Amino acid sequence: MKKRRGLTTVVGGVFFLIVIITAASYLTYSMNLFENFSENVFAVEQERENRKKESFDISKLTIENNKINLDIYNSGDIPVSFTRLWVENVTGVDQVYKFNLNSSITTGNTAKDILKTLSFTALETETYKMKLVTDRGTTKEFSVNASTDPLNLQLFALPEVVPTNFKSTILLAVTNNSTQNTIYTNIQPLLNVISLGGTAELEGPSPVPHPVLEKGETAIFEWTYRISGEDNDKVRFQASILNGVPGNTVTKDVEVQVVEFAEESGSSLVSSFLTTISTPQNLLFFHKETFDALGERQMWSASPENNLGEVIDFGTTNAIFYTNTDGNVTVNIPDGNWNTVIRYISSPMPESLLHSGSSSETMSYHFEKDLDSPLDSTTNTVMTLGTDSNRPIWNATGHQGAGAYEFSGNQFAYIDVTDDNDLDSSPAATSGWFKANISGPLSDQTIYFGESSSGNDFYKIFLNSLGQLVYQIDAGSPSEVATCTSLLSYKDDSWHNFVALMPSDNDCELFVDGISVDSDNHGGNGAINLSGNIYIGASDDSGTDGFNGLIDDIIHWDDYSLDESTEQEITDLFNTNYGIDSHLMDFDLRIVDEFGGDLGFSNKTIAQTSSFPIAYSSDFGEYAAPISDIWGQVNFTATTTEERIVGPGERLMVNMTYSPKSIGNLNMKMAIDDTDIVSKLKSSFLQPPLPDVGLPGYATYDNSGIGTIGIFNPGPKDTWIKYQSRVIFKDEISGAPYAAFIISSNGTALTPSQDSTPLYVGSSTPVEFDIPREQPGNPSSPLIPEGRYGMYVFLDGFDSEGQVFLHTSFIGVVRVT
Amino acid sequence: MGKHTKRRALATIVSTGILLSAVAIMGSMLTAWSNSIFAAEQNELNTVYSEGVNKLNEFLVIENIWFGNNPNKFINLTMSNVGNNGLNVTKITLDNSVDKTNLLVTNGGIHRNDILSTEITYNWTTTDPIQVTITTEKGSIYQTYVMGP
Repeated sequence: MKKRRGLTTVVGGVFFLIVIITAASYLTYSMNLFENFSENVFAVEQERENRKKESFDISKLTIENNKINLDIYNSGDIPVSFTRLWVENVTGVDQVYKFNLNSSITTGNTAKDILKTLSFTALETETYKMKLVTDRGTTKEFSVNASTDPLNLQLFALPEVVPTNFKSTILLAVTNNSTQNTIYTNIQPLLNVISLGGTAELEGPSPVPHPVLEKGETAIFEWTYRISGEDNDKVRFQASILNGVPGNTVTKDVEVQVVEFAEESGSSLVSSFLTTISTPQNLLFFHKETFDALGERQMWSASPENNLGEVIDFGTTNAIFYTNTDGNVTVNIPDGNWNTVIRYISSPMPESLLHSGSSSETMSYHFEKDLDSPLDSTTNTVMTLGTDSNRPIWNATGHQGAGAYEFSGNQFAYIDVTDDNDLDSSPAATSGWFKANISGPLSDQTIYFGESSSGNDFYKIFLNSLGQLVYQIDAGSPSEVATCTSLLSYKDDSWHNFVALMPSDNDCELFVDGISVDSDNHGGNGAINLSGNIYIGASDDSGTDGFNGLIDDIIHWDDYSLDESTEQEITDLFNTNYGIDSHLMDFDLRIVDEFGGDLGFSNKTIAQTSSFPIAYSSDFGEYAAPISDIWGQVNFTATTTEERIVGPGERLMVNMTYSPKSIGNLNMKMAIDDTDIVSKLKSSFLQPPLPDVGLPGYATYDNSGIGTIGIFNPGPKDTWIKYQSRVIFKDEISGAPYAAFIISSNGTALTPSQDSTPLYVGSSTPVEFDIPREQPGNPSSPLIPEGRYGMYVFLDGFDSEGQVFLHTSFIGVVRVT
Repeated sequence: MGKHTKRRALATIVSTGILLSAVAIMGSMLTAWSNSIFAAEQNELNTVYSEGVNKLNEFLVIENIWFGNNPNKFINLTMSNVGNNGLNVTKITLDNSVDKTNLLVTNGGIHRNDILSTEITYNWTTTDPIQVTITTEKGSIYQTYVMGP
């Protein structure tokens, strides 16, 4: 039994072993399969991760020379390999092209012009939609030259309302809100200008195309237009994208409005008869007084007191103005326009040519206005334009953006030589600018011409039949002719400067664009005895040898020949700008602390503009000692889009710093605080948006005694005031009112039986008022306490024609101490 | 007693033979049965594994779709196989929420790193988005939405 049991056990064991081995094999196989499966899952997962890490951006996409110029930046974490490019010509029909690529970019690098070898002709006028495909299947779609979806367009005009001849900045914001995840490239904005009465002239460059606009991104395009027109005229700007979706446009109107400066507005305190010294609280005149203004000049809402103003010479100083400081007041100034009005005059010459006596220029015409008798800055000569068809046409933007006269063959202007411009003997010089038409005649074209009645003496500057500039003088009898002729032709539709010198009798030297082009030392003595007229643009009243083109800035020195060798006067003159960019001024408008220090917050800044161009203004001459109202006017406008707050103890500052040019610099002077300046917008000032309360001024009243104010009668009638007149104070915080009688005028008491002495037209008169009380005239009524008040004056009177007037004027903010 | 001893020995041999035979037969049957079970399971495992792995490695990209007009409106669809194995596209479905168009693809094999382009006559519009669904032989589904230009 033992043997049988043992054998059976062996057999069973064998089978058991077989089963165990089989099971183990199956298990091992299964494990291997699972391991392989896991490895596969891991590998696939890794590939998916790699796909996620794959990222690239289009850094440039343009069409140049019929080739697609595409730069790609690998912004992902792994190298990218491009396999295909799809190009669809959206402009055409069923034009889809597939290109196989073999281009790789390593991480963080840019591949430039990856399609340069592509055999595809792309046109700049057509729209292409493209798609790049990588070997991992990542795709990126983009469009060039156009939008294939309507894009979100927003158009802004800053400001939307401008005074005539002011600039407005047009901003077009293009947001890629494509629903198809398309990237747009080479976005080119289109701005259509439609006149609704007004005109718009582009200033500065047009915006360049935006290279790449990713989904969700916004591109901003900016234009600056100078808007002009009459009141309420409009210019409509209509913006779209080149080759964009039809109808995907946006419009914005800019309206011309005559700026209602406070002095002209209904709130003006100027009455028919009288005015006090103050102005509305958003009209801050620049004053010459420096007291309490950190050593600079005051700026507050008060008119100039008298005609003893100040002329600030920007050649020696800058102009800084501060409002006063008040530790108890917060002034809120809403968003809007801040107009800085400067009354100024330009130097007639660059510094090297600012001579005195006989070395100074004797005639200077810049044609800044269109007048039958254009203005000579020196006031020495009188020019008269030809009439009817012989009258040259004024071009407002002729030279350097300013006025010039256009001649077309038989127009002329003449100067009577009986004045100081008789050119009898050397030295002498003549300069000017001309722009000769390239299609002008093949004959002489006169620029400047004078001769004697016999024809023996003459003084000519002209273009000959070859277009060369010729300066020819004849001072002898018989003829002694000196001739200077340029080598080059200037019939090229371009502006050129000439300086013709007669350093000594019968000698000439000619400069064009600052460079000497010819000289002739003919020699000998003799005077040029001209008769008749000196002509500009032709050689006689018939328009003989008429000029074809533009002429400007004709200047003549009767007794001086310009010095180039030591003073570079000719170079200076050539580089002098008598146009709209004659001067450059830096403007800094800010809210500062009580000591003039920067507060360090952007919301305390109103404007910081460098090199603001200011046009030449000296047609009325008198630069050296301006004695009358000859001042030009420039308006610098800054726009704030948010409220500005002048906090307690803070000041408003205007800092104007002249930015002189290195060559050909023209100086300028600014007039402030002068009642003699009555033209245009009168004396220089700042007009911020109307604040909620007045900015701290420099007027104070001591409530322990009698107060004084000045009143001014601008006419047209002489007047008297009566004892019923009052001053009124209104507490700026509580509104509590106080008032007082005006008790005297010009030292004469006002009583029920005595009026003032006459207030003659144009005269200022001091008037005194009693201490203000709650109840005027009641000595037991409470006195006005210290504080900040709005002050008014009520004037009761009659004029020289017996008419009664009652007039209330706002004096401004007054501190009662 | 001697006879009796011989009979008993024979019986022992016989019974031992019977026992051995029975054990051998049962053992063989059991072994055969277990082997067949294991083989079937192994086969099943192989199938599941290969299907799973193949499906896992299948990756199709709808590379580009463009809309044509000439001579009739059509949609051109290009698919790219960026997976590790070849795949077979069997069905393309275009659904514009109003109509659903099923297109059975008979020759939809795409080698690895290869593409397949097909043009489907379809009356697309510029206002209705189209859901494009691609089904492979292994049952993978790829979808995208497009709209006529």
